[in-house]
Amino acid sequence: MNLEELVYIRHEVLLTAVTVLILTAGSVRKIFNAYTLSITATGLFMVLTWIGFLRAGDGIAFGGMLLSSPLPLIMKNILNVAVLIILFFSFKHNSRQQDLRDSRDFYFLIFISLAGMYLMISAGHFLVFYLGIELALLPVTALVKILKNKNDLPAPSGSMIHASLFSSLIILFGISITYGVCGTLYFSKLITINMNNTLQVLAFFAIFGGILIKILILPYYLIREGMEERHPSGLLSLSAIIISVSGVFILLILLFSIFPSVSLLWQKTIFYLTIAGLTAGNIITLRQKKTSRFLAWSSLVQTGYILTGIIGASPLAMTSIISSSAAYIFSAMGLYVMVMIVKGATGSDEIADFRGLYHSNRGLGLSMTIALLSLAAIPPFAGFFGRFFVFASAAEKGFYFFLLVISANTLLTLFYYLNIIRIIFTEDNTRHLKTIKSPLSTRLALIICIAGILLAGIAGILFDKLNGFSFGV
Amino acid sequence: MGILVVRKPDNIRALARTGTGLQLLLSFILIPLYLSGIKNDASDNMLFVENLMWFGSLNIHFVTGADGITIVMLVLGSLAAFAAVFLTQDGDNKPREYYVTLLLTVSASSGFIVSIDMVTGFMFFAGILVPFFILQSIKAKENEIASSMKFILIPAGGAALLLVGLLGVYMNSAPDGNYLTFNITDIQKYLMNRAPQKVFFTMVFTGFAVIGGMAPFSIWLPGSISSLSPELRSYYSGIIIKLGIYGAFRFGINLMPEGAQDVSLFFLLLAATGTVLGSVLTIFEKDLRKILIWSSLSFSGLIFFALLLLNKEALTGAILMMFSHGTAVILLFAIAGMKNSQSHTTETRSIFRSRKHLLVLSVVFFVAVLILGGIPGSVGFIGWRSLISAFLNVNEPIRKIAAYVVLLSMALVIVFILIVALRMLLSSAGTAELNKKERGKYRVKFSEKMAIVILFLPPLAAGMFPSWILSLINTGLRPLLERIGTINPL
Repeated sequence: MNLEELVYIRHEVLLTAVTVLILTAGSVRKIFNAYTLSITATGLFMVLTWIGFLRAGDGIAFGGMLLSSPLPLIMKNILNVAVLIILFFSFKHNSRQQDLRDSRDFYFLIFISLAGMYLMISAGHFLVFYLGIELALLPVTALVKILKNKNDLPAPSGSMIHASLFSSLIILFGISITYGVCGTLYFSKLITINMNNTLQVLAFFAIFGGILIKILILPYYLIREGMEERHPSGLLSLSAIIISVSGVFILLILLFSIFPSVSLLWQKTIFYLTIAGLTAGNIITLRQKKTSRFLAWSSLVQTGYILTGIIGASPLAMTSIISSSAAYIFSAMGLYVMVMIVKGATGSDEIADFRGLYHSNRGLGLSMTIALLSLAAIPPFAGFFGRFFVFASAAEKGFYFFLLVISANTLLTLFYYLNIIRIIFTEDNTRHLKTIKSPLSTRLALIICIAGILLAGIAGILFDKLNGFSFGV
Repeated sequence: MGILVVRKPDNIRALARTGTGLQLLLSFILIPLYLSGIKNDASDNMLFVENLMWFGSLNIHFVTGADGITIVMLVLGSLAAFAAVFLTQDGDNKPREYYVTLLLTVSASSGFIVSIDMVTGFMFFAGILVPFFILQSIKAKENEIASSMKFILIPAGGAALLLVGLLGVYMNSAPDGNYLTFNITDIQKYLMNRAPQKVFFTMVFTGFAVIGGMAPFSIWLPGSISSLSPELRSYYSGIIIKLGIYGAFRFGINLMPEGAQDVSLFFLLLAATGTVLGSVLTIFEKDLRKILIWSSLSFSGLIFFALLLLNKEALTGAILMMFSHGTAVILLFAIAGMKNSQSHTTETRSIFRSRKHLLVLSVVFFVAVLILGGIPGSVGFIGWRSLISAFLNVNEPIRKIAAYVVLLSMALVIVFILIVALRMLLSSAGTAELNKKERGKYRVKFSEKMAIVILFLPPLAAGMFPSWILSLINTGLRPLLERIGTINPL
């Protein structure tokens, strides 16, 4: 391995360096306390994000195990921005920890998880891919354990590990069969192989299913255990967003780069899966009265909308999914952050308690409306453009009936988001919400989100560039 | 020349009024500008085009421009906005939010009117709905939640259908080999295959019909409209419904006339049903507001019917009626609202019995109804003339019958409203008996008076000197008519 290759894996290298740094720093209690550690971590990551956007060479590292090209780079950068938002938001939480180790562990786990996601995205070989998945998702389990209250039962975290193991096994199963059938695990070679035999199809479904389970574990457990009710710092929900987005990314890469020969198969799967999932998800979300559950279910629905883009199987589909994901990150994270702020102030988990938010806190109410509108895909916000391009990519291939069903679903989504907006704007003279003040770091997080929502849609240049890098089936 | 209106973020009422007044002025100025421009260059009827590249790879541009019909709609839109701002009854409670959202809606409508690119148009169209929804939420009381949600969900449903339809048009818009396009001037020039035309025309048309007031898609409309405040009601009926009709025309009929021809019978019958339904329900209504709403629905049905006849007279008549009904209904709803705030009821019987309402208002009401009915000297007259001659010239038996039925029901509606207006007029003559002090309670504010006068100008001007509006419409219709002339029926 020569120095040139180092540039190709710069994201990974830099992140590892930062992680090690934080780990060491966090262990030296004499020099650092929680506050300075948080500042260091956030600051270093900001630099890393910025460097990530700089263009450098593209190529292969480690003999084909890692690929670096513009498209994975864009994905990594999007994830970087997402993590940055999390860091800003969690600053308040982390800087006030009594025990330096809690702070250090949080950053450590987030960074390691991100490194795993990098590996997943850049993988050129199934083993690296698998390594990435594990690296990305195991720390989350640990994170759950850290963030929940000390006096909780260990059970939730335990069953998360079981589910994780299970899905990992399924994926490994699929990977092994693939090796057996195709004789190689290098992505560049796999794409040339026609995979229409039964065994390989089985393997495909194993991998596909395993990944889906992995993506869904965290939201599922969040909902089931009502974790957000017990630990309202919101960090877990935000992590769930990143995980689902990275999951979408790797699905995209896998389906387009490795399994194009079975495209008819997964197109059909996505067709039925998304219709069923979206409809069910929408109906369930409609009935939610508690904020935490509402957020969890609606994020499932949003991921569903993004996934509908896969059905197009074209460069436009890829671009639309990526831009949808970016829009989703900004909108959903923005929404979560704001919800957490309000929850912190009112202490309540009911949606109805948002009533009159606009009249007591102008800025917050307005921003929340913007985020909600973006999620509901209303122009001129980013969410609309994401959804529009996803639709366009499906229309390109003639999936008009599919589109009509999905459009009917968007009506349901529109309904429950609009409901919240209406609640925000209703005047409520019985209660007086005090003006909510947030620390600078949280505000920074919000500013990034709102800016993203407003600009990401309108900036057509970005879209064109993205389209230039996308590839299809 | 940018035609989009400038939105003023920090508002006091005066600023809003200046803004809309300016916009109105601008739209008036546009008329001669456009007409002279057309004379010089008769090849392309679209002027003032501004084209910004937006998403190059999908060939989406932010394109705005105007043809004759656009200008007519712009005038209507500015009038409606002007009226909405000047006739606001209680917008002083939280003025900032109110005016900002109102102006947002206005900007979005103006943007929609001038859009030439389908994506731009859709964006503005959807952008109209949301501020309007927020406007409603601010003012809605608890028990009107359902109708305010209906107000945005159903048009949003139409918009969703519309989106799929537009995408379909896009995907079929290329002559073999060339780029797909969202630009409607380009699409107009190209002949799409017949089969997709039928499908997507239906989608696009239905999507717009939901908000344009064509039954059975707009059954929800009357219930929801009555929950609005009067100036909003007039704004809505005056322009937003018309935007639905305009959209159906511009993005539906204009782009896919062959498809329109093929499915025209179906939609014609639907429109006729709507008109008849509206007229029947009008006659049975006692509440002034409801009367106006149902009759508006009838008018929309009439306009849609005429649009679908697809010949020059009918189309011209349709647009003229859009304009006439738009201007008239703004006045009608506004007056109804004023009466309401005076006598706290809109039941016609009570209005007739009470002798305490202003003569002035009743006169205005009466004249507005006259315009609607087509008194010579107003644009309604020319509109009706075109329509009636178009209807009487229909050849096929089914359509002929439908046309007669429609004409009959419209006649009923107009006569009925005329009677109502007359009774109101006569009963309010009693205010002359009131002493000054009592009368003082019912004064019409100066701003409202000014608004009313200005609102009367265009329809009367169009009626007495129709050449400007007719040439506007004709240039707008030209490309469509050329193509219709060459349609061979399936």
